[in-house]
Amino acid sequence: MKGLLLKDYYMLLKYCRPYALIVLIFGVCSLADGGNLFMLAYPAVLCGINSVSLLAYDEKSRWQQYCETMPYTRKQVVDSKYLMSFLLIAGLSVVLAAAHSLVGAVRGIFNPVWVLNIFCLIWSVGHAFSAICLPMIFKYGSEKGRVMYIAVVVVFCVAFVNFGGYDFSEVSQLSGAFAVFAENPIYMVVLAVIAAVLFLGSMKLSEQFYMKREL
Amino acid sequence: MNAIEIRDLSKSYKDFNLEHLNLTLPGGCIMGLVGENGAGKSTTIKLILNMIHRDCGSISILGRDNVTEMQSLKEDIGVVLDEVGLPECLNRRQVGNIMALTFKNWDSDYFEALCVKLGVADQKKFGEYSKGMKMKIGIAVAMSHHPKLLILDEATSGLDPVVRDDVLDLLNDFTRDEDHAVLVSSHIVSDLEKICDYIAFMHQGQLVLCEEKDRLTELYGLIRCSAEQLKELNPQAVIGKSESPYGVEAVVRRAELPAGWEVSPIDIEELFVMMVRGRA
Repeated sequence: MKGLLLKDYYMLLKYCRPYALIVLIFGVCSLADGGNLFMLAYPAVLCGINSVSLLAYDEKSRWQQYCETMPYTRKQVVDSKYLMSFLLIAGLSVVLAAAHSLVGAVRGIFNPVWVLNIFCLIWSVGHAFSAICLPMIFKYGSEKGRVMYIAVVVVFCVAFVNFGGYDFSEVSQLSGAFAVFAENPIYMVVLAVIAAVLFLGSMKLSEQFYMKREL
Repeated sequence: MNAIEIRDLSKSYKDFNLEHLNLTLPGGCIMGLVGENGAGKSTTIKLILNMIHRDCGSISILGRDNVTEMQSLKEDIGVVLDEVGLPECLNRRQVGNIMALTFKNWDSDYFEALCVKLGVADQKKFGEYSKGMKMKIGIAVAMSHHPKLLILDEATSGLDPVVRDDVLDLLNDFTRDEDHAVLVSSHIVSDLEKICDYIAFMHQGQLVLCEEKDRLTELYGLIRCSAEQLKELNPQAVIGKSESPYGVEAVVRRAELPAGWEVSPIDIEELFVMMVRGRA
């Protein structure tokens, strides 16, 4: 599987630089506007998009057929894409959580609960996005699967733009379910665990879909 | 040992059926798979590589089952598809790095040497090459893990005659080792005529014939006559014909022709075209 990961790494370097730039901009903005969930969630969605984009490029170059002539199983092809997604999302979760910790410490408002919430939010959104989109792409290909992908992006964006009206770093200003989530990090941890389980289930589903697909 | 043994292989699609294919490629030989578009050549190659599911039949490659042992078999098979399939953003060095992590027997020095020999030694991105140059890189990749069997699907199409000749020389060199074999499908019958030991004709999902190349010219010939004269012949003797206002040209089995007929030699391309027309 190392060869598949190296190939995806080369392709990420070439094709996904614009995504990296957007992630950087949104990441920096989230540091300035610490309570805006959209600024935090959108980079996570972009991390999930990378694997979808890589699959589309694979289809365009007919790599998937070519890959069938190499000593890789279809399971390995699927797993490599999920592993790449996981590495990107986990990396982003750690980096943004660390950046918010650092900024919080410099400003003297470091709040470990808030940092944990950031980590869990990015982790959950990124993994959920990949978990929902990738099986459709593996089953129907990037052209047909893109319908699901666009729908999910729209839902994520609309949801988090609406949440943008709340300042989640100021728990005292929140009410209802938002306040419960912001005050109790255990809920966010549970959410992250659910996203991880969903991600693993999605990987198994994609393996099944891809095994049956005729390339 | 046979490089490929196909027994009673069938595959059905909505508008195409590959029917009860039996084919044997002996070790140390080159077999050319000839057929018009849609004859079933690519389907056969995909089935050999287990890229698609078969309806029935069995395929053995280098003495091993192509379903249960495909993973390990792929270390011994080099494949060039009609489109090479490498990502357009990669350069030759990156392709080499990926393949070194893919094949256990990857030989970086040999890959470099082949690229130099085929004139693709620069570090341009794959997408910047012409179709012919892409195919050359595909061929270099297919040969650089020292496979025992090469499978090429329309690999010489898009190459200029000089490069095609270089590629054909490479294939000839490859089969000097008795353990090596090549299955090559092509529309350019003259290429196959140059290098192949066996020719297999496919038409509408069926194997029309599979014979040693040299035997084909011994077995078949071309006659020119009138339509009336042709009707007098045993229908079994005629395997394809082309009628015009001036008469009939027909491909015949020499052995089933009565004495006295003047039979001209036929080249493989003529034989292929006439057989397809005769069966259309």
